[in-house]
Amino acid sequence: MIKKALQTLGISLVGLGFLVPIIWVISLSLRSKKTVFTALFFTRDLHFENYLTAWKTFHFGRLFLNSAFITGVSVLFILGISSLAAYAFCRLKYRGSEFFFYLILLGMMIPPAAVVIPLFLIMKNLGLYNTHLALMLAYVTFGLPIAVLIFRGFFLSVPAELIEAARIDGSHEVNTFASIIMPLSTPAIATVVIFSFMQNWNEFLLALVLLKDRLLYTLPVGMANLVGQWDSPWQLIAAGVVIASLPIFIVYLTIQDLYVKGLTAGALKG
Amino acid sequence: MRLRTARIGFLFSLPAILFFLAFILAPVVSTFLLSFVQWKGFTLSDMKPAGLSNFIELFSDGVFFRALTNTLIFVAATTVFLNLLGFIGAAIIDTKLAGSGFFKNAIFLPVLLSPIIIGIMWSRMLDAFGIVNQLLKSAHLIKLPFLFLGDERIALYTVIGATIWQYTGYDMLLYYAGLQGIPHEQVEAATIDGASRLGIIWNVVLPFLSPVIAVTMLLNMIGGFKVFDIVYVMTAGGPNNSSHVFATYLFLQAFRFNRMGYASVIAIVIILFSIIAAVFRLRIVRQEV
Repeated sequence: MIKKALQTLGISLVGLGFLVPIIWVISLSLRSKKTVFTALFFTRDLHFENYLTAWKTFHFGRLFLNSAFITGVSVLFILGISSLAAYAFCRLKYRGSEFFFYLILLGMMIPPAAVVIPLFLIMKNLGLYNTHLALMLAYVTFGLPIAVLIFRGFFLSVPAELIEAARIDGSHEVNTFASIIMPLSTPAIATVVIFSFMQNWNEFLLALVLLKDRLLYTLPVGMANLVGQWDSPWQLIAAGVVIASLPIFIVYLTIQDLYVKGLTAGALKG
Repeated sequence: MRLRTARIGFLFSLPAILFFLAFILAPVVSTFLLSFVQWKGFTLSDMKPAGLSNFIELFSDGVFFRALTNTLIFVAATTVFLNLLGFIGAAIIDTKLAGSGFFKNAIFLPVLLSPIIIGIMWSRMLDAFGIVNQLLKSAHLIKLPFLFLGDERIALYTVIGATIWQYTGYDMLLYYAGLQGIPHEQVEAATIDGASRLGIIWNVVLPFLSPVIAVTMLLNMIGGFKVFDIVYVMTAGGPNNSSHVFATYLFLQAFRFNRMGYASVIAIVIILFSIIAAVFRLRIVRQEV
């Protein structure tokens, strides 16, 4: 009994110790300009107004909006394009479909860093440099392979008789896909949404290279842009760190199990 | 009928194929072409053929070799520690003791954050006025602040430490998922036979987990080879170019020095490493598909 209690205490302390950097940043975000470099942890007076100041000075509203828009549109297109392709690759096979399937899987192996130079040049020549569209095109491309793999795995588990029956009933393939297959596929949709959301929400390199205007920045680029000077207002930057982390943390807490499943399933498939 | 479904199938997959051709295949091909030119990337008329000079330069570029060894160190260190700590963490949750739920969430929390945020946090925590130097000073271990990111010998390892802190929770969950499939009868049988706990882990659990270990290590390695964000935000490759990895050095050459041709050679190196990883990855994926 005592041994169990000690073990519980032990692992709780390890967990808490692991969180020290995060707790420390929260303490930093609540300090005043004077104590920001001198205090160790929380100070007696907590400056919650830092959050409001940080929100205004760093234009967080704009950063959130940009990130949400780019991520949202990209995830929608990834869903649509990858589910169609995956369905074709396993249920509407044609000559060469196997080849195209492996070709797209190959895209999973190419990290964005390897092609960021030509992507930058292509976007520039298309007149898309410094637009959200450029970023969304890139995000959709890099999000497709794993999404195709996840959907394909799921569609293979849908009994072929179901599709056959719909065909005999005279249902058009497009109709079968849209009104029979997709409504069945909510688990796969959830996995793809969570996986590509995480990937795009936190993406940095492509956003750094393809965007120039501060007004267009996503959260990670905007955040990275805050630091670097010795006289940076650290209590505000720390508040910014907390603000930027909060939404994803709340999403995680609300759909925890789904989230973990999405993240690990996506990883193991890929 | 067959023909019709084939045509619809092709149309269904066409958008995905087009995205792949336009934004992955075309860039990969361009990278190979660009590696033979000297170009600032502004107008096409500036482009000058460079023969093999970019490749020759690479072989005599000390910073590139530093980036190469740094990348290998980064990959090896993060892979080893993430797997080790991830497995230990998974074993702890698997005890299902009170408190293991909190433990799981605490370790997993950093996985949710962007590497940029992790980088900002850790840079600030380890700088001259950060909590780490404050504590070291009050314990009289140091007189002057220790510059974790300002020391050429240490900077890379500091970034590695922050990366391990961030992703331990990820490996932990992968291992935990793997542990759920362990046949309990075998563990019980071994326990009755009087096997020690370490013996059970070594002889029963680890062999059973080997596919999970393979996938997790491979994922860590692939992640390590393409690391950019956290290095960029913590050291930007410095001090004195000591902590560059492939991606940060490519970024420096391409977008700070505007040397598109030379940077493309670095991109080719990244592609080569990716292909090697791909061969291993495809084996595992094939087993699952």
